[in-house]
Amino acid sequence: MTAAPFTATRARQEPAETASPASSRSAHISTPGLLRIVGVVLTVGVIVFGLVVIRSATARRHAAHEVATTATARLTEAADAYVELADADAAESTAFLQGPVESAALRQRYNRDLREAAQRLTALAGGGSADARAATQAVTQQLLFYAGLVDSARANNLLGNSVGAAYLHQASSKVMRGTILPETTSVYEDAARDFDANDHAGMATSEILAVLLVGALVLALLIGAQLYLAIRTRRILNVGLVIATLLVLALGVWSLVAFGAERDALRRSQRGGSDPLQLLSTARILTLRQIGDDNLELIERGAVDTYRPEFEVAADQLGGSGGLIALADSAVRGTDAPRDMKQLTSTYGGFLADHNAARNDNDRDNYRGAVAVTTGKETRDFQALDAAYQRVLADTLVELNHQSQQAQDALTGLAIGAALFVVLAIAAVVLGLRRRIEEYA
Amino acid sequence: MRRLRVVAISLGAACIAASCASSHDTTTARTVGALSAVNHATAPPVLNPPNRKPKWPCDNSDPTPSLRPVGPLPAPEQMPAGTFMQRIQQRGRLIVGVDQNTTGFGYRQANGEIDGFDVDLLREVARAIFGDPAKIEFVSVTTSERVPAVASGQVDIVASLLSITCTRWQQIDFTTEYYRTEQGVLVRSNSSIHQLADLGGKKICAIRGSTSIAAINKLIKGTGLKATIDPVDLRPDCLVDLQDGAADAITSDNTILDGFRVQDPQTELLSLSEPIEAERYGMGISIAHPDFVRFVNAVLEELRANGLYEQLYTQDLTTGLGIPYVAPPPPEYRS
Repeated sequence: MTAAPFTATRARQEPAETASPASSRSAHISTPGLLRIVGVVLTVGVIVFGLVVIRSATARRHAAHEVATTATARLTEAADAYVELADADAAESTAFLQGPVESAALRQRYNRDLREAAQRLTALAGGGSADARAATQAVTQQLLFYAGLVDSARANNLLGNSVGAAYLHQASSKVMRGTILPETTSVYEDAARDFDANDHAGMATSEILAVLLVGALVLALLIGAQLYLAIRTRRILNVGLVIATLLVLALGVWSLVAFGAERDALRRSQRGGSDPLQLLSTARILTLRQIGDDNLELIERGAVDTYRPEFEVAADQLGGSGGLIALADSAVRGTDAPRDMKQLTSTYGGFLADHNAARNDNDRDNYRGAVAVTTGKETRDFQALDAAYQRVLADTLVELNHQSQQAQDALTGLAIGAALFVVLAIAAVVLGLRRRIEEYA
Repeated sequence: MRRLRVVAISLGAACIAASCASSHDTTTARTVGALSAVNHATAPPVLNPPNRKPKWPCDNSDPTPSLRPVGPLPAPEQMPAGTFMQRIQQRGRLIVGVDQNTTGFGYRQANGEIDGFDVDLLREVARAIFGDPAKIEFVSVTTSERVPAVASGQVDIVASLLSITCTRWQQIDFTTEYYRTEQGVLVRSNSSIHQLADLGGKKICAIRGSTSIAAINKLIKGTGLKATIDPVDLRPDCLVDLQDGAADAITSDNTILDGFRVQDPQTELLSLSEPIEAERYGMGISIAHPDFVRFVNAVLEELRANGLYEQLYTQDLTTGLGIPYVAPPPPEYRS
């Protein structure tokens, strides 16, 4: 292939004894033949090096692009679908608690939630693992069942039939909490793992090591060839090989610096972007579960005893120094774009205080007081908290997009540059060696 | 030299990045773990109380004899010292276990208040202690939680269509019988089931923790009907299953089935040549409080005598469920 220029040149019969008496020990090896072999090896080495750089740059750029686009989109779609499903359920239970005539606002919230969740599920069904697609399908099917049960509950509640509560219980407890939300969790989990895989691919050290190793090897070959020529021909400098060496060195340094910058940007996108994104999405989901738990606890009046433990488990996961909110706080602190976690944290504190007040009322036989607190102040604080989550999440998405865009930008031109450098380096090797080989012609 | 340093820094940072990647996995594991922990949050198991052997001969055909009241009722707010009633009075409210899904007996009204015959009788117990029927706290208990709720002390007293049986006497005490009914079968109006024999190969819904389950199982065993039982936790879950077609029939106390019929006119009771089982309702109280059993029995005697029993019955059951008034069985005492 590229060895053609060497074979095209006809070599002299005998190596130049005049070149160096000291090298006469190896006089039996044909010098032009050896030079041709050196040329082929150097060319192949430079090509391999170029390919390694091009492949790594393309793969990492693709991974960074995925992080910025599809993977993040899937992660947020899955989290938002969960939020809407849980919110629809919370809206329905709040409406039931407030009385027989459902408020129009709550009905609209429920309708909007279900519509948007269905749209997201359709979008999610197109990607992810086979398990995730199956889970998405299961959720879509169960959602129809859920909506049917809620409709039966509403119709019966209007008539004052106590079977309405049983329909709501089946919808909320069995279908939503028993199937839909766990299946949505596995869709979210799949999206998160997919996201991680792309993050990993974008930050793989193996590629940096490969560039380093292959680059060092090619550099060693180039330098070795120059030493050999210097000894054989007594010409200290082979300009072609020196240029090729500098080109390989420059490409190596460029790619390492670019990979480093890209990885740093991805790491920032992780620390200030995807980590808090996951933590905050999950925290938002758990808070939704909590308000639903409080509603259902009041509706069931203790007959179903999973709501209190569920609230407590969620509170344990959210609060405290190792809780999701504290982790998100420390994740965004010290990033380039700190976010307003203070308001979120204090609103959550207020929400918990409302919850405790309602529970105290309920435990001290003030059921109506408890209902008033939960459907009143606690629901308002919950809405403020959810708005705070949404604000911080929006800022976090901006940061994530910004940093993963920077990661892509760091690799801009590297693949094309590598191809150009390789062509130039090969030309330099060919030119540099042909002159020496021609001396034997 | 400087380039080399850049390379060295990059290389060092690469290793840090490798550890960062694992910290990100930790975030995913943390968030997925949090979601799954909440998905799997479970309630503490309901502990069944230890059994005792009744010291009197309990007759399965009439297990109702209870503890005789001692003297007249004390005046409200003046419960005798050292009694359980005094502890309730000091606490300021009576804690009762009821159901909130049983039309006529214990159900949640649209305004969130709980109402019904069982509930009204309990309000009269509160009135006897406090002079105020509103000093009462409702705890909703499922059918299978009724006995444990009383035995564990979670509630002072339970009134929720609780049948008096010798088995349950081993775990709790009962007041005198205040209502009698029978176990029946409810089917859809267009059902092909017209008699008990038609239940073969069908799915019958029954409520977990009720006497109906044991009775229908016994019936299936005795007749070789080969029906399957669909057990549910909450009473109206059976109506949901019947309406959804998940069950072909419901077997339960006629009181519960009457409530279902009111809510769904497209259902009807099977006419049985003889009832599957007689059900005698009493209120359940912990075996630790025989003084309270005697007190409530005195309240029930008074309600029977002053006509309030009939008034509450008519208002809750005749108006609500169309059950004509039947005088309560006379109280029976064993000591």
